[in-house]
Amino acid sequence: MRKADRKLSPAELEQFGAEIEAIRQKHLADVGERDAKYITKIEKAVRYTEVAGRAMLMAGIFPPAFVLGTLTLGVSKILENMELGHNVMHGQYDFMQNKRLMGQTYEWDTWCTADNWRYSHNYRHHTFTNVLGEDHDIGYGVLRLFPEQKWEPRFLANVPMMALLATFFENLLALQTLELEKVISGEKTLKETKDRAIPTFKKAGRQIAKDYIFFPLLAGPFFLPVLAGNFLANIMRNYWTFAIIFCGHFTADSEVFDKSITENETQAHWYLRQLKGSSNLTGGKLFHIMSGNLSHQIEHHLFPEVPAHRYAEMSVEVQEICKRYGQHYNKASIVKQFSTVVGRAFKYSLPSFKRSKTQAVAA
Amino acid sequence: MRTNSQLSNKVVRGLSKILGQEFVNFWLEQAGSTQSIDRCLAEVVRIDRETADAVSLWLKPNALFKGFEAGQHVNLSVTIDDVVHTRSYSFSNAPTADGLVRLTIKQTPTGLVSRFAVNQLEVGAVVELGDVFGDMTLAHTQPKLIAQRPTMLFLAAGSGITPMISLIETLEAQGWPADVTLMSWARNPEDVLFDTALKAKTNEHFKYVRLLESGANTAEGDLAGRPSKEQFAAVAGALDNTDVYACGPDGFMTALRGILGDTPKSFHAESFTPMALSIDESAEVKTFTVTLTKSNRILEVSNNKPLLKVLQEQGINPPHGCGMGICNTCSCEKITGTTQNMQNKSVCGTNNSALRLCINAAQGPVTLDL
Repeated sequence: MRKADRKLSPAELEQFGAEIEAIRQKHLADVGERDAKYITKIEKAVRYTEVAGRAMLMAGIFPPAFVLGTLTLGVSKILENMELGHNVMHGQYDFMQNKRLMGQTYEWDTWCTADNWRYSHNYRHHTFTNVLGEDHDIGYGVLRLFPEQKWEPRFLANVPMMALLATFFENLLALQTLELEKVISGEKTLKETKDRAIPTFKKAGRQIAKDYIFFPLLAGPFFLPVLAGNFLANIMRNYWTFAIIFCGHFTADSEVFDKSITENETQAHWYLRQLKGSSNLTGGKLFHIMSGNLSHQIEHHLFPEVPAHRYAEMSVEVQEICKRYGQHYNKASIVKQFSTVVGRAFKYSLPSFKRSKTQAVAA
Repeated sequence: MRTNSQLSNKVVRGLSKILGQEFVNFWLEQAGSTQSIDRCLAEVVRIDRETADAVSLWLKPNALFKGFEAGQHVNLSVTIDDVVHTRSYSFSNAPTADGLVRLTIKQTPTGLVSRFAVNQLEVGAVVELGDVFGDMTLAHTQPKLIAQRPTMLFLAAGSGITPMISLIETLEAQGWPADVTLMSWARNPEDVLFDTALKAKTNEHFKYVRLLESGANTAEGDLAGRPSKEQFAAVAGALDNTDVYACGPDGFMTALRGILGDTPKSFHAESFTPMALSIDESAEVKTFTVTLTKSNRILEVSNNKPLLKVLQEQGINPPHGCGMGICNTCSCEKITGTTQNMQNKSVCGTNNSALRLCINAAQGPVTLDL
């Protein structure tokens, strides 16, 4: 395990927060043409690869066209969900005033409705990152990944459940935003859930109509290869997004927090909590783009409204600050980080005998 | 044509449902189409150079365009370096049966959109038209036009001529049911917009006078100098039976009000440079919380900056346009709270009211539907 973080005095913590805030202000003030050009390029890449992938699948009875078409469509869906959709929905590109790329109205290519996502992700997850009972992303309601989560017999199936979640991530993620287990436990009324469930099922219907009816029918006699290609492209996107997202907050060194931590939390403390609850992935430029820059999960959580392609440069500044303040900056390769996530799934499928306590992030 | 566009609109709507609007709109844009299910897009079909620094754009809007009345203006959105900018411009033609509209734009030294329109926009480009507004229309005089033959005086400075052309063309098309005089101020003769066209229109019911502020190179019939009592006495005589329409920059409008007072029978005006946002330097700077209900955010803002600006500083960019309180693009619902208009200093504490973010500052905790 790593070296423990230095406990920051209240004054130090404030100073730390001010330095992080200064990076944010610097970049926000600079947002403009460069960012607009970037996301316009990404949008083009998404739309052109989608058409190219689907076109190749039309000729999918030829194995090379099938394989290449599926891969291209999968890449397109990954780019759309991660670098385009997720970041646009954070409002990172609202400054462009392009009606197609406005955070409040963008709708992405997945079952989960953009509206449910804006609530459960932009608000709940980003505000209450890794706070038990508040951040539903911890275990997605079906997994036990931290000793602080209470053990139940259902967690014996942690590992197969995780494999299932990864395979059908798109579909289960859409259901996750409905927080169905809270209806069973009585925390949420059926009516509340119904209001969010109906748009979700409508959206799911449209997604099914697109990938499994419209395009296969368009292919006429080649119905089956198109259907299969679309299915595999969706699964490919599911595995990739699952791996990237689970490395964001559930790696070995990620911390979870008790609800009480958010009471009277200062901006500086919030920054420190985002740092401790998030973890980065190292890699090349293409890897960062394909991960929607969620490989810079720490920066994304510190600066969710700053255009994500800036995170790489911002991370240099953040690391320098962390070093000076003696705070661990959690980064490693995806192989390393992901294996620790899987390790958690194994370890916490069994009851923990010593229930460790969630801790305050600073004195 | 009409059925065709209705049919293709149905196709676009259907495809958007299945493939997603983001996908369909992207490819429509790539194809240079003005087809849209919810946006009034228009193709630039002709560009006329009017003077060295002004052009007229002829636009062909899609079926969503709801039309306009002579004298009104419209929000025009253009994309410059991948960023959309919105400004208001007056229509400079009479409403026509073929649906073509004309906007005449004069470039200003710092005007991002006007410089783009004058120097870079090309035929074939697609722009967006937003809300149409303004009440400097003939509705004020129309009911009496034939019965009473009203006397109308149109006053324009610089590109303030644009809505006047629209009014004049409309009256011309109706066979001059009123006696109209147009006084058009410009710096030099070569800056006078629509000079040739207006000269050609003059007749017993339409009088056209140029007023050249520089006083240089005046031709016969021209007057010199900025607006003055003498000019009005020479051109228009007594005004107590005259309906006056005026459009120009703020300074021009103030000058007119000083000269004309309330002598005209009626006065309808459109000013195109807005009042500056004034900041009371001596006032105490306070911070208030702003709650954004849709995005679940709470921010601290100060009372000496417009809300749009403070939101932008926090990386929040709601829809916005001119930034000067004209175009209404940034208007959003204020659920609760007190705000102050930074142009005219009026304070508004009405809940559930429309608020223009670009010219209003918080004067207490505010909750917005954003």
